[in-house]
Amino acid sequence: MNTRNLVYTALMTAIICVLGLVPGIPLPIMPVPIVLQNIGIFLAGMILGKKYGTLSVIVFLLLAAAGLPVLSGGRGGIGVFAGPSAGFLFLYPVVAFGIGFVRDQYFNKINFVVLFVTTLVIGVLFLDIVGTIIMGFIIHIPVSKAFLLSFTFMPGDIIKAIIASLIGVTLLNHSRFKSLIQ
Amino acid sequence: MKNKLIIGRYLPNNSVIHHLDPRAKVLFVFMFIILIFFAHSFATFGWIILLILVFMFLAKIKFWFLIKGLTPIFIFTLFTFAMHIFFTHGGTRLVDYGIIKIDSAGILEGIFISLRLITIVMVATIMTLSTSPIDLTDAFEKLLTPLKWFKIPVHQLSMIMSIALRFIPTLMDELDKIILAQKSRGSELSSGGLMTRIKAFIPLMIPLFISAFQRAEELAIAMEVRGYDANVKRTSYRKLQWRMADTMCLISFIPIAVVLFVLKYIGV
Repeated sequence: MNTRNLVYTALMTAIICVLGLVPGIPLPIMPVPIVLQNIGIFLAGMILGKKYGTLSVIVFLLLAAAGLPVLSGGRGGIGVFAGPSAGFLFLYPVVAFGIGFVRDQYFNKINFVVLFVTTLVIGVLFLDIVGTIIMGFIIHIPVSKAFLLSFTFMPGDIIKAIIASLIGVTLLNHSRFKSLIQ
Repeated sequence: MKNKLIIGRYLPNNSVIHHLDPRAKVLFVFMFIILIFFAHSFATFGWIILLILVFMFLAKIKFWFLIKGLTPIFIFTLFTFAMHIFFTHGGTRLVDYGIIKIDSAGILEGIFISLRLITIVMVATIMTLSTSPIDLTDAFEKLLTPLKWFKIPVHQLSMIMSIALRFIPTLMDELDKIILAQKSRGSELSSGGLMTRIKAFIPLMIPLFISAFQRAEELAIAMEVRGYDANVKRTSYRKLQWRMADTMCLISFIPIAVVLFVLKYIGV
């Protein structure tokens, strides 16, 4: 690790925190507003790759555990990691690693379809289904009902995947930005 | 958004718990949360709640702050309770009305799981209110030191955390400026159709990322000209001091756990 990668990792961590602080943005046809924090997790993998993207997400979780109210909704503190959303939090580094892995493979021929399909599979289906099952374990709900519950999260997360993929493909094909992160 | 300053929720005070080494507090809270998962009766939860009240008194924290710390999980607790009332069965049937069936076991299970969530958040809130974020990041770095045998860059973690903490207010200001600039050009996140709003994110995110990464590159260059190398062992301006009180804090966990398991297995 060199100094530049260290600072980029810290910057990505800060971006994830700031996106969590942006108030939820209401959307038509959807009952719950969209919070941007998941977009930060997706973008960490897309922009920094599997190694530093995952590290930035882990540092973000450490800051949340340290008590900073950086999780969406102003939550923070070590108790969140034993609460109902703990499953999602522990899956965030896995999601960043998976997206970053595919990004590293396709770095020189990146496009929207590659990023969107990757984010859809890893960031939406995997995160929502496994996260909701873990939530079910924590609050002692049967797996079948937890699985059905995951579908309530998916429309919002699909929109977040679209947003993150649009941003990721624009940045990764931006010549100035690409020279910065190479 | 400028109202949301990142000062955490640390309450400066002069109590016994404030002066403990943050490493001892992190370890104790970690073990205590694991212990809470073994509680599953009124007697065991009574013991846990009594201990939390003692911690609260030692830290000189008002009860109101603990209740306020429960606000984010309020909906989750209600949801958990309702799910158990309607779906957990056993014991005496209290209500049998069409598809609605409520058993005593469901109510008890709902109470116990809700108490678990509440007590976990309460003990974590006490630590959060009595320890500054910088102390906690130092504690995490020290406690995670064994991970370097697995090639995890532990000694860079605290530097990353410190830089991230410093970047957060800068990025918030930057995002505010970009939002206002785009609004003055007619972009609007809160109106229009679904695709219109999705596309409105791009003019916010692209400038934020590009200016932020340029700033990061400048910071990296500035650090290197001041003699910083990420791979070299560093000294520390801030030092953690382990004292006898910290040892007593960890040792006190043993009688706490013994009492809980006694209550659990005599079946009160």
